Amino acid sequence: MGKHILLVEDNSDHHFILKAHLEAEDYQVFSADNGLKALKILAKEKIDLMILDLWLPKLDGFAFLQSLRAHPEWSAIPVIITTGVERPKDILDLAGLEVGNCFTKPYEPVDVVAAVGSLLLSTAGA
Amino acid sequence: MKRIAAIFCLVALVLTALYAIAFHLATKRLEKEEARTSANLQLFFNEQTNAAKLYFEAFVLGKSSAKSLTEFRLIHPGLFPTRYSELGIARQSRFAALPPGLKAQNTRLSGNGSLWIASRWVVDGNKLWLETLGSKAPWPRPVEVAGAPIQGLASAVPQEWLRPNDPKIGLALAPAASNDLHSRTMTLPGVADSETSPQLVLKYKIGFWTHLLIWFLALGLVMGFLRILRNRGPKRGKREIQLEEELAYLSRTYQNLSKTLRMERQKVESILNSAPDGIFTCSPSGTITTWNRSMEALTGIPSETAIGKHYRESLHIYSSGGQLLSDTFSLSFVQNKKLNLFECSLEVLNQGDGSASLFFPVSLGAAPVMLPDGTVEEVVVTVKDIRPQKAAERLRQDMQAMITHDLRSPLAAMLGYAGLVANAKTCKNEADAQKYLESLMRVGKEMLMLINNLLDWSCIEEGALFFQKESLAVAPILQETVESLGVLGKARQVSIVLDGEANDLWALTDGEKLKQILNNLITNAVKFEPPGGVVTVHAAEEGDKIRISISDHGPGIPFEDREKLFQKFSNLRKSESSGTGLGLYIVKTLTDALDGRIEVKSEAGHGSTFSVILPAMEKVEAHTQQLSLLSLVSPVSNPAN
Repeated sequence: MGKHILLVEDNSDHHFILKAHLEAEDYQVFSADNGLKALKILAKEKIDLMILDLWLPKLDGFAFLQSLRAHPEWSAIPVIITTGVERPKDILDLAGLEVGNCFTKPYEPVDVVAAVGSLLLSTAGA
Repeated sequence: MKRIAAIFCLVALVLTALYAIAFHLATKRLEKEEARTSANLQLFFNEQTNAAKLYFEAFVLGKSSAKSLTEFRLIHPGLFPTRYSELGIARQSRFAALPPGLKAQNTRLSGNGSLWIASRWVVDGNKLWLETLGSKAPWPRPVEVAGAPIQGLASAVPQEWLRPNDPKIGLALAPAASNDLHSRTMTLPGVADSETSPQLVLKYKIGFWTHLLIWFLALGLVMGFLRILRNRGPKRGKREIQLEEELAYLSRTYQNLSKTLRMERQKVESILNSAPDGIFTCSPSGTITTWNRSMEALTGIPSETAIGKHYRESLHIYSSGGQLLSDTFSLSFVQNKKLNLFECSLEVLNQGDGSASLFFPVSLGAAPVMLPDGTVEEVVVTVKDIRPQKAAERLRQDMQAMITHDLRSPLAAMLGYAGLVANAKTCKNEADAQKYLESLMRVGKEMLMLINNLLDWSCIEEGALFFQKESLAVAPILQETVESLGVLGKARQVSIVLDGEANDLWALTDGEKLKQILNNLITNAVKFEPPGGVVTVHAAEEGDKIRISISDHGPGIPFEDREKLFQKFSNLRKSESSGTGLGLYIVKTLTDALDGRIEVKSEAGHGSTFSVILPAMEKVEAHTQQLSLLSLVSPVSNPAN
């Protein structure tokens, strides 16, 4: 089994499609549809990369990302953002949050998978 | 009336006085002439016939006296009461002889100079009257008889007539003859002692010209008096009268003007107070002079408080950039003379009553009230509250964003599923493809419903939603809807169960709209039902109504959110589920239009039940017969199959 990827996405269809693509590439995908669930998974599993929707129930993407960056162990986990928000990078930069890639919906799942691959490679190389 | 009577009395008084004066003057003049009048009496007595004759000789001097003499009497007290004896009267020239056969003739006196008059004598009581004939209005006036006997008269008297001895009157000297008129006359006791002189009576009339003169004078005086009466009061000249008329005209004009002005003022006030926008006026320096009702409503500041103060004490105007305009606003306005509508923010300052100051967007315009020389007298400022406009704009923007997002999201999902099918890595076998395609169909249906809802919503907004109500069996509609949503249930691991005695139920409704209502309600229920749960669709008759209930075991709806439930764009659980927030709004609108109603039973944490109540119909026989006929002809099309 390959790298551990945490997919945090509340839309079940998008979640399903992205998961199917990732699994086809031999990643092990952990699913969460809200921030709280994601934190629980993070506590249990070792996660190599995270795909995060910014618009989430219970604990939204921003708050989640902030707590993630503040955490000593998890702060280095690379994060790919998928969101319906226009120009999410600006907002994140403004908040001083660093992320690997940003994808605005509707995105091509294949592109996300490719970004996952390259990001994992670059982190491994670093 | 009183005044007229008073004037009449006054006029009568004046006339009388004038007449008296005029008469007095005339009489004076006559007296003057009478003073020169003399008369002589001679009585002759014929002893054979026992007749007496009186000869009277008088000189009336003066033209007017002679003319106006109408009566001439000789009065001698103590004569016999013989009625009268005729004496001849003749007009004679002066000192002419008495003509024979004296007879009464015309007694009118005329001519200038002395007259020789024979008159008749009248014995009335103890007076002997000698009067001229034809006298009109007797007015006894004794005249002293004086003067010497007329010379030459005796010669004219016939010889047989005796002349009395007394040269003065002659009567007393005649011998008395009893029973005879003359003799009785002569035997009067009063005559013998001759204590009283016989009297000559002269009567005068006032002449025509004298009368005319008197009346003319009187008329002149009356007219003068009337004029005095009329012009009583302060004396006014022509100029003064003209001025007075002008003043009256001006006063009338002023009254009309002030009336018009009052009306105009009322009109302006009504217009101001009925205007939906706030309007106030201020002097160029900024002191408020008018503050209409909408302004009161907008700011909460009553006009009594606002008027008379500088507007900065009540309002601060900020540009859309947040710059305070109040200080430069009026100045720039006065300079530019015109200010078009522009959007800005208004801060209503609290008036020291502790209320919080308000801050809201407005559209502001101003217009000057200018004097003919171009100086600004007042500034009219209109203030339009654009909060509702802004809110509508925001709602529209939100909605646009939501619709875009909500349409894009399922479309992306559909493409995503299609991509999974197309990708050999993700689609390894037919079962995978089946799975992906089912999901694709489900998302497609969701999207279709979304688009239907949007279309219906725009129809509702435009009032262009049409219905075709007919008697319909409820069961097939329920069945069809539940079947079509099976994919959705399967994907969410929720089973949709239809129960109840739906088979015999008929409703008067629009089939397509009912399907849409049910679609929305069941989709919602499936969305909120936890995986592995059951959504129940139950139909039952309830009097003359049909109740279709859809129950789930989801989180339920908090009581405080019930009211918002059926409003448009009120997605209560936005963060947990997608949707435009139009579904329930459309359900409610359609149900109302179908003469039905909708009920919600829900408890937080224990699921919700939405019930649609529609008017029921008796089973329509004709329709059923037609159906059975169809089933006979073509058993395949029997809906039971």
